Amino acid sequence: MHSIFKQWWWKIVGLIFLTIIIIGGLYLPLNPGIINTTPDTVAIGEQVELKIQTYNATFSKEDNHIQAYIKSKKHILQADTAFVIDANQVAAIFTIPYEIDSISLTNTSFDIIVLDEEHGTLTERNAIQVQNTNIEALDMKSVQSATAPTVLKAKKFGFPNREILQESIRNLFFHVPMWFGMVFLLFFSFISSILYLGKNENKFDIYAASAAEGGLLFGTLGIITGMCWATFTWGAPWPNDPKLNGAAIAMLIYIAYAILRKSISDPIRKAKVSAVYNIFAFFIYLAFVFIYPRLTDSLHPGNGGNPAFSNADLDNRLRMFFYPAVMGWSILGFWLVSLKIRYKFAHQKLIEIES
Amino acid sequence: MYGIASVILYVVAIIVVLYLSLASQGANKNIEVKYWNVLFWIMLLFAAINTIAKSFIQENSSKYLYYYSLVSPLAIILSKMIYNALLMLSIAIVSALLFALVLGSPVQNIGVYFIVILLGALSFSFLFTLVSSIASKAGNIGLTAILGLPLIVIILIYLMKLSREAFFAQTSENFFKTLGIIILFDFMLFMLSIILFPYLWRD
Repeated sequence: MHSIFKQWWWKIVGLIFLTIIIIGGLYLPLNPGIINTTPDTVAIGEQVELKIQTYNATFSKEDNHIQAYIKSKKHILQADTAFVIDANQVAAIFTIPYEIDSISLTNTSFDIIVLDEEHGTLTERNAIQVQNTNIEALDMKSVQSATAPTVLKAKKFGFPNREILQESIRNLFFHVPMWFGMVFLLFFSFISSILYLGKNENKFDIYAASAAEGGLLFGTLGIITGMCWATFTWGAPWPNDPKLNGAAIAMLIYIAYAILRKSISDPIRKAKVSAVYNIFAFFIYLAFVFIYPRLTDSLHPGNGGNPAFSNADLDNRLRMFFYPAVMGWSILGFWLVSLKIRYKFAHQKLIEIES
Repeated sequence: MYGIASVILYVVAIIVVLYLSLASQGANKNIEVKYWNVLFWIMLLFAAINTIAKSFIQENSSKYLYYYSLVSPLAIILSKMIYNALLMLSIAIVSALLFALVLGSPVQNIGVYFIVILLGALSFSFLFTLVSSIASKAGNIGLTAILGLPLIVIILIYLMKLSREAFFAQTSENFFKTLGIIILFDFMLFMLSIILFPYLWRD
């Protein structure tokens, strides 16, 4: 184990991964998306021009293949015409009928869909609401639901532009790997503690203590990055979410471990007692991080049943950066811990020489 | 006997403080069921920490040496855990009765409530016995609370969830799921305690 700490190849690999995700993850653009649509309420029978504000799009006035739809759960309606105002603004004219497929549109909310070959399909959910005003002015027109447009992907490479998340989706490469790093380091610490109790070798105690410190650092970074993300997407830095609470408790457990180590002066007793606490705590930590969020509803992706990322949340473009990010940050964590371990060994040698 | 009497007095004193505090706010009548439940378990938690934390400190070191030569560590931890579980069970029953006396009792299903209290006593006993032995090895009884509190939280939450079932005549469909989780947890804590304690004892 100790010789691996001194080798350099895995550190280079980690640095390459981190360079890729820091440059690529922050520099590559997001796919185009819709920011907002005005007006957000329309009346039945009205012919309305919707102004659709987009983000990161490069529409040109010559482009006349642009299509716009509004879509509710039951029906879909194509725009009479759709045209480009400027690179990030599209207008679409809709005639709102009285009913589609003989179902009244009163108080229905519609998603708006804009698509062309170049930018793919852009959607904003619940963009407009139909209100039953102006009852005299309308011709009681009933139309058939249009066929749903095929979902197109953007031609240029870009990260998915999700509502609510928007640019903050890049935090996936920083926030989530922190938890992976924390779990790996704490698992390393747990194994070292078991080995210490089995073999009574001092080096395993140093491994366990250093890895727990590294895990605590990664947990703190995970909470900080998570709080930034939560403020942006959920509107509050600390919503009552089982994963957040679990993470906070996990931090308390390992801070208690650090305090326990500080409070014992005899080195052998310190090693033994803290190894016992570390093993005991790790099982409860596992329950907190992996079992507790599955049993309660969470705001996190895959809430309720499964806290892992599902295919819908993580598409291939994100995966290309997410897996290197997990590896890169975890390697950085082990690198930090290996430095700490080597420092502690050196410190110990120094004390031996002096005495 | 002295130990048990002091623990009972401790619980009674907490409940008196709790009752007078609630009464001073005019909240002692018709207290909402959820707050009743939370107060009960928080009180029981602190009673458990205070009681079980002492279980390894009380004996002096010459007595330890005597035990060490006489019996196996397994026997020590088992007897401590069983003793603490019985102690916690009696504390829980006494405090439930006192709670019912001064704050009224929302409990509809006494059988279920007894099961919850029994599981609570086992959980507290299994967890805090090992933690208090760790704290006593560190030479600081005050560590029991800071080492044990973060560990107990998850079990405490499930105990509170399960005890809500006792406030209705019919148990919900989640009853057996929560019950199973707590039993699994208790089993895990029990196994960890008996596996890990010998390493502490061999000091």
